Amino acid sequence: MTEPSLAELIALLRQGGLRTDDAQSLADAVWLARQMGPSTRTASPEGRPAGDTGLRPAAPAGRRSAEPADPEGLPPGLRLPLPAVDPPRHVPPTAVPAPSSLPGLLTLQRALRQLQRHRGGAPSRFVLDERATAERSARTGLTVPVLTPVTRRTMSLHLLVDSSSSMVVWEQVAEQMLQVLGRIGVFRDVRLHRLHESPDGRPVLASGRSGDRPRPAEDIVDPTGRQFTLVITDGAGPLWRSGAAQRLLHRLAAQSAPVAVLQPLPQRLWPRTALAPRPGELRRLGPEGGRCDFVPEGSSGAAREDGLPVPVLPLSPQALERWARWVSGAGPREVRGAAALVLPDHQAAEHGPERFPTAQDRVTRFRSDASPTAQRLAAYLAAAPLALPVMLGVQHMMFRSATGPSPLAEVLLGGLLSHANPAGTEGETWYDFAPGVRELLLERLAKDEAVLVLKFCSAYVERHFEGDPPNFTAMAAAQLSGTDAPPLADFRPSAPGPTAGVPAPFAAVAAEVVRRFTTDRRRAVPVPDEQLAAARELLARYAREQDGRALWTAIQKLRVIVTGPPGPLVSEANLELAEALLALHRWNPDPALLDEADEAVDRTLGPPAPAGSTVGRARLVRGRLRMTQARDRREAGDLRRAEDLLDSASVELDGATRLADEDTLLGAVLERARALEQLAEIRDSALLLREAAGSLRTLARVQPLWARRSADVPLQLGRVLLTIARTTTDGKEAREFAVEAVEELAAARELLGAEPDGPSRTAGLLLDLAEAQERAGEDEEAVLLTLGEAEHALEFAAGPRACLALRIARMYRALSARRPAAYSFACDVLARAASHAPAEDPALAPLLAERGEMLLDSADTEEHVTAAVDVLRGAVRATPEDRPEWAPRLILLGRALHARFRRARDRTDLLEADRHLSRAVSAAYDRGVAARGWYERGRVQIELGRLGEYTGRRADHLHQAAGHLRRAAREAREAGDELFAAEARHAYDELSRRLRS
Amino acid sequence: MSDWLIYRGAGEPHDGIDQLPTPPPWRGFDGGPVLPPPMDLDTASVRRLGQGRSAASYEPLGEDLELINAALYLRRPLLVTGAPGTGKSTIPHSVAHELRLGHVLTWPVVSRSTLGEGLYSYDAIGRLQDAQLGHSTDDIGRYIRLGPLGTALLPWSRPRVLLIDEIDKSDIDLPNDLLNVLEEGEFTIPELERVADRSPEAFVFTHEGERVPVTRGRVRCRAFPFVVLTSNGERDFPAPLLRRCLHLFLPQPDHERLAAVVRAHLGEEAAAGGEELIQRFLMRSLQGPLAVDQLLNALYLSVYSGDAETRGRLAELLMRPLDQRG
Repeated sequence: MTEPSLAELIALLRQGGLRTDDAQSLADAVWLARQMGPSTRTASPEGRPAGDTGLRPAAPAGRRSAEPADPEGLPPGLRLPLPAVDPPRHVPPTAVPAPSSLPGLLTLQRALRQLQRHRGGAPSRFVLDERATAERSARTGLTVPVLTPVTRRTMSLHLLVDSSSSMVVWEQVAEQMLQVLGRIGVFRDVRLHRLHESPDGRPVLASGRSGDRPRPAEDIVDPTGRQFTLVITDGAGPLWRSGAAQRLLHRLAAQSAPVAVLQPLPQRLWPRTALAPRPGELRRLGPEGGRCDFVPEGSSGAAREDGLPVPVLPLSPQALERWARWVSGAGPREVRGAAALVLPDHQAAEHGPERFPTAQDRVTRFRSDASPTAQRLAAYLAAAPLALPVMLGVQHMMFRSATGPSPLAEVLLGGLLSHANPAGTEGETWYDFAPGVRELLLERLAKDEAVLVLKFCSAYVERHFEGDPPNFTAMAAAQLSGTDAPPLADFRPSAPGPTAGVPAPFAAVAAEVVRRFTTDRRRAVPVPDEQLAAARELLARYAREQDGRALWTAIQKLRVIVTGPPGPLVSEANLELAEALLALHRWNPDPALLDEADEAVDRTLGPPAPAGSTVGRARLVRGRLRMTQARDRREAGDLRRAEDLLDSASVELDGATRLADEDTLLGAVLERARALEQLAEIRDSALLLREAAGSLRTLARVQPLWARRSADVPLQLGRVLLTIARTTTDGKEAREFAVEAVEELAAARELLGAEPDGPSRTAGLLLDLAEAQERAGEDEEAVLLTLGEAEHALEFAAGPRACLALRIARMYRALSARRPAAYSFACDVLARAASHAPAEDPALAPLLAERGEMLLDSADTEEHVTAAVDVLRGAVRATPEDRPEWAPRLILLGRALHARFRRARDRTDLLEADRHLSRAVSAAYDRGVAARGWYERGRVQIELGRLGEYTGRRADHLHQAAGHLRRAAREAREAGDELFAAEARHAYDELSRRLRS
Repeated sequence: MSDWLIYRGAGEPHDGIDQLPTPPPWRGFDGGPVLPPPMDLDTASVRRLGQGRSAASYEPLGEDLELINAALYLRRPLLVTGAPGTGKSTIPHSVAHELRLGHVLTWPVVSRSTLGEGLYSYDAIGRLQDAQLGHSTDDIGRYIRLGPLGTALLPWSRPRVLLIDEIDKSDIDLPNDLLNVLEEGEFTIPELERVADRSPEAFVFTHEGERVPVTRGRVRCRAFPFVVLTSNGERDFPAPLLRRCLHLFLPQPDHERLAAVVRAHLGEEAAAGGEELIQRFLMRSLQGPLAVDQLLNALYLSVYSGDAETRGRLAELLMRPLDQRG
């Protein structure tokens, strides 16, 4: 029993973000939690020895359950140490470019081993050499101690790593140098400091990458001369540009200990950085490195330059070896290398005259200087959002051979990028291209490469953003690659609601890439006529085949068209755009789309007032728009706003019907009827329903005069009439309406057969027809027939079937009173639907509950009851606890378990039933439900009483049962269910009689 | 939940240490023979904690208190990091004062410190001289003196308090060496091991000058000492050491803390009259790091300094940020 709970604890801790890989820390924490447990400390009884307090005799299993599950409550021992060197913040470990391109550890070690020859000054301490003393005293007979100098390592090394943002790519170099310098055994102490810029521009040191607990950088200056300082920087950060870092270097170089700068960028980029080293000759001014002289190349030896020289080393083992040898005094005094001259008052780097280079300038300059790899990388990055992990990942993926960090460093420093801060990305490093640069870079990008990059980005989105956010990058990739574009349904978020916070650049960049590759005639003067026709054709294709790619391309085209000068064509384009956006919204519920559609409709109706029919269409579109918005609001629970929106929709649609031409009239009237229906539901008003029915009837009468008859009108009319029949209280009127509904629905059925999407809607239609027939009082045969047809049609139904199946089953069941065969039909339907329904279907729970109930009622063998129990368990599991249906389903489950007990005589069933029932009664909203719950509980307790071993227990259960039954009676009476109250009362009376006897 | 706390930070001495439960099985040691604990504090603690010791100058808050108690329970060292002057070294004194754990053993670490020095020192030359002078040198224990760490690891019946100060100044090797000793809770003295068969028990000097027996050259603790390692945060420690310790980070003190410190060291009137200086101290500390000592110095002198102008000048001089030069 302890094993699973320990595993659970570890899982909980991991969820809370705590490291649990150290078994001993975990053991500490659990032990401490036990000590801190909720029970109070008892006063130590007298007579206990001082040191022995004795552990409280706590049962381990029970105590584990008392452990707090939330991280705040965990004992302080769990806030155990984080790794000593915190990892670089934005570099995911897998995306760092392969380190094989950097010099390996072994080569570096070999190179730097030369430093071992460095003797750090005279030895300061002497220590007793025991062996030599023993030897000498044995030989000479005199005991005179022998002292030897301490040849300890005396030099320490401080590694200063520049932590400006462009240095992120060189993180590995810093780690490697730290390891190597520690391993060569030369230094007493090797420390890593990170150099940051304080808000007022001074250099500060911190231990982590995040720069907390900063210390002034001057702390590192050590006047005793026993310290090597190695600065790792690319010379491009703000501290170098302002001269502050050079001033710090001057102070370090002024001491007598060696200082050097390690510059990981390729040498040809060095002149571009603010730390501009020059080639020349370095001359040692002492037996070992430290103070040195520098003669730059090309200058006459006579004129001394100002400033102290600091050697600048490239990241190559040969250079490091030469430097190591030079600095430890092993080689010749002069060595050829590069050094930077730093002044004590080093000024900020001068800017040229303020130029704002154009995008073309920037790109030309970059292309002239950069390595081919960097240029290719820049082209790839033009197709990706510029978040640092994404950039590293793209580099890693696109270059099969290891390229090292330098191409990315070149791009970062190449004048193309600047820092950016898109919304929702606080705390992350983002860049953006200068305006216009991305397009120019995209010109050199081939289509298949773009597809690869987009695929990578879409995989990144899927991995890193939870939920199922709309993945435009995936859509773009599919569109460009011309694969049979999966229907838009695949991009639909599986759960409605707020989409995960995918930062905007992901979609924006993807859109731009698509634009580059699909609108080839971008530069040509757009001819709106052709474009509009092309867009219309695409929309038609979408309407026919649900081709998502066509829809999207159409929207892009239309977006371009509507930016043109206003005119009749543009108005129409706006209208088409609004409709297309509405269609897109069905798949991607992004409210921004609705807003855009709204604006487009405004523009249609705007200053140059269009023709009447266009106005009609525009108002129809707006009406639909408002209805969609109303649906959104309803789902969000904001009924008032939904009501307002529906009202406004109804007004718009009314206007549309007056102005519309034939095509739109139909749509307008239907939509308006739907709006009225929904309003009627919210306001609970029958009047609106009749108004809707009225308008539909008018339409139906007018319709046969036209060429095309659509099934929609009689279908909707029939449904509205059915709703009226359902809700009206007058029986006679209900029957009349139902009869009319039957007519209309029958007519609709014939028409629906001819329509392309007919089969998918037939099931719903037939269900309504069956219900109407029943309410109209037709005989059961007809209804059963219709239900049978509905069952068949269920195969073709679109959308969630569980709901429809449930309705069918319920109708069958209702009929089974008069036609027993219907009962088995109901069971069949439910069984089939239950096995096919997906788990997220919200209608699954009621379906299972219904099935379970039917199985229970008809069960005659133990297997059937067990099946009922399983199904009901599923139903309970699928129901959220705060729904009112949860309690009745629990009660059903309790009954089922009770039934199984009666056959199988397994006591655990009874106990489980009791548990469920007690939860049910405490959660029941409705008194009637609670009454049943108490009643069942009472019966279960009676059974338990019969089973009880000793008389005492037996009596216990029976007394409890009596209490439950009495409670049941009371609840039932208060709920107004006199019949059930009487039943419960009767049971109670019997029981109490038995108890008394 | 607060009844599991043994050290409450209230400043009043009590016998709560008796209620410390037995250690977890992996931190239990069985050294012997058991030595009775020393009971006295000395002036070192007075210097740290202040005069009226009931209002101790260090009052830890919530999480800090829990961490200190967790270290007591788990028998693990406590690594305290903070800027200079935030009261890191005061913690062990406060614990020793409240839980009556006796004199605090202090080991100030410098770059030359080695583990051996902290454990014990063997006066070979002295023994040689005695041999030459003809004195008896059989009692080798006379020449062995345990260092602070060694003394802490003796089998006391109550845990001793050990302060290892400024461990980030040490050599690159010291934290690793320390790790092993703190894990095992024992160490050996080779000089005694060599002669173990002839004289199995030797009486060595502790850091405080008492003589205690050591059997067969092996010292093992019984109650693991409460070890406090202080660090200025200047350097990172190797991960194995960090895993074994509990971490406490002390922020810069705020107004109430400063007032409490002043009250404890200089009395109530100084606290009342020194409001202005405390404010100035807090504002100055925004410009750069300041140590609480500087405030105390300024307040102390202000008693003797006469007029307000001199006081102001003195305060300027004394309360300069620590990182300013010249």
